[in-house]
Formats: sequence, structure tokens, C-alpha cells
Amino acid sequence: MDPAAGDKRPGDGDRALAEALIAGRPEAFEPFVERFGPLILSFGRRMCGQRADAEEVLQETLMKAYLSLKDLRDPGALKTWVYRVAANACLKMRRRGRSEPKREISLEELLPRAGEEGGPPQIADWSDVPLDRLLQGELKTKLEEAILSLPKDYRIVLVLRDQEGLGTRETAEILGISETMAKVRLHRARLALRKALEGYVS
Amino acid sequence: MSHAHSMSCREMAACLSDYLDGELQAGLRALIDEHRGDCPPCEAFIRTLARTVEAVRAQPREPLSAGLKKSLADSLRRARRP
Repeated sequence: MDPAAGDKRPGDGDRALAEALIAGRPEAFEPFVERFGPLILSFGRRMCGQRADAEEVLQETLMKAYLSLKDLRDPGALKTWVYRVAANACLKMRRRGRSEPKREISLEELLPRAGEEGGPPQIADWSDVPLDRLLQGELKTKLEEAILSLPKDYRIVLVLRDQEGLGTRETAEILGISETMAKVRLHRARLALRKALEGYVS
Repeated sequence: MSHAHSMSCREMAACLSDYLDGELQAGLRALIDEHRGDCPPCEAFIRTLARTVEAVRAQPREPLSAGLKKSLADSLRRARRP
């Protein structure tokens, strides 16, 4: 699985893994599951909300990504390939689940409103709330609910960028949207979460 | 928010994610740095937005059991092209 000696570039490990899978080498399956299993399970859980749905997304993603590898032009782009399959699986899963009509998030709703008599808005600064508190108990639940209540087109950008740690370009490629659109959706999703948390924290 | 700045609060709010992600050009970044220093509501808004992003990023990953890993690898092996 190790790339050839010399300068390592991003994607070299994935390139070697993809080439081994395409060649049908059976010893490549465990590393494939090790590499992408935890990533796609978390991605699915954050997109779908339910562990059972996330496991279904994971199984479907690894199988479809493997079986369609012959269509992968650049083996170094394995990660983007797998996430694209996972994104489609999640979007399909949501459609099969509860009704989730497309909607847009208006920037207007998320910016602070002027205070009384047109004065400056009052904005509570709760940024000193410890992360531990935001990630435990009621606040943890509220944050998860707020993420799941985002429109799916926004939620998927937030999850790819802020939870999976992908860049703007990769995210745009995976979703087949422009980088500008990915940035707009990420920003509005973050603003919506800030507003949701504000109601509980401050 | 105050309007006595070279960049309005509204203009600033539109590019805060790029600002927090370090993807803003230096000139715009300097304008926001200046603005937030003079505008307490914007300062609180930026700080709480940054905290929100930190909380999203810090959420733990789902655990994947050894049993499920094995089952996934076995399924792939069965589907292996001849």
C-alpha cells in the first residue's frame, strides 16, 4: 500500500490504495475499510441523524465506490470519489425518509436586527462557554438538532467542510456545485447554527 | 451596529466565514480587524460565530466496531470482480 519512495504528495496513499483495489488485490479491502469506514459512518450519521441509516449509507457507499472504481480517472482522487458516492447515498436516504422539501436560508433572518429605536443590536457574547459544555448533555442535543434541521443542501456543505474537514474546492467537486455556492451555503449554515445556539446558551 | 466605519456591519457579516477560515484577502481582513475593534456588537457576533464553528468541528466521530469493519471487508471480497 505504501507509495513509492521519494517525495510524497497528497493523495499518494489513496492512489496506491485505489490502484490495488482496481487490480483486485484482496489485501486492499481491509485498508479501504480502515481508511474510509470511520469517515463515511460519521458523515452518514451527521447527514441522516440515525445510526442505522448511517450504517446503511456506509455499506452502500463502500460497495458502490469499489464497484465503480473502473470509472475513476485519477486514482489519487479516491477520497473525493468515495465522498461523492456517500453524498448521493445520503441525499437518496433523506428523500426516502421523512419529507424534506428544498428550501433556502435567507441571510436576512440570520443577521442581527437593530435595537430599540434603531440603535445598535444587543448581541450576547457567549463565546467563553467551554467547548465541553457545548458538546455534552442538552447543548450537544440542541447542536445536533440544529444541524439536522438545516436544509439538506446546506447541511451537506457544513458537514463536508466543518466536520469532515474538506476544502472548498473538494466540497464543490463532490456536490457538483460552484465554489462560490459552496461558500455561500457554508456561511449561511454556520450563521443558522450560531442563531440556534444563541437561544440556548445566552 | 454602528455605521461609522469604512466597512458596514452588513458588508462585514457577508464575508465572516471567509474571514474565520483565513480565506479573505489581506485588505478586507484588515478592514474587519479594524471594524470589530470599534464595534462591540460585531465583535460579539464574530466571537460567537467562531465558537459555533469550533463546536461543530469538535463533535466526536461515530465509533466503528471491529465486527462491522470485518463484515464490510467480507462483503467487498465477495463482490470482487473475477
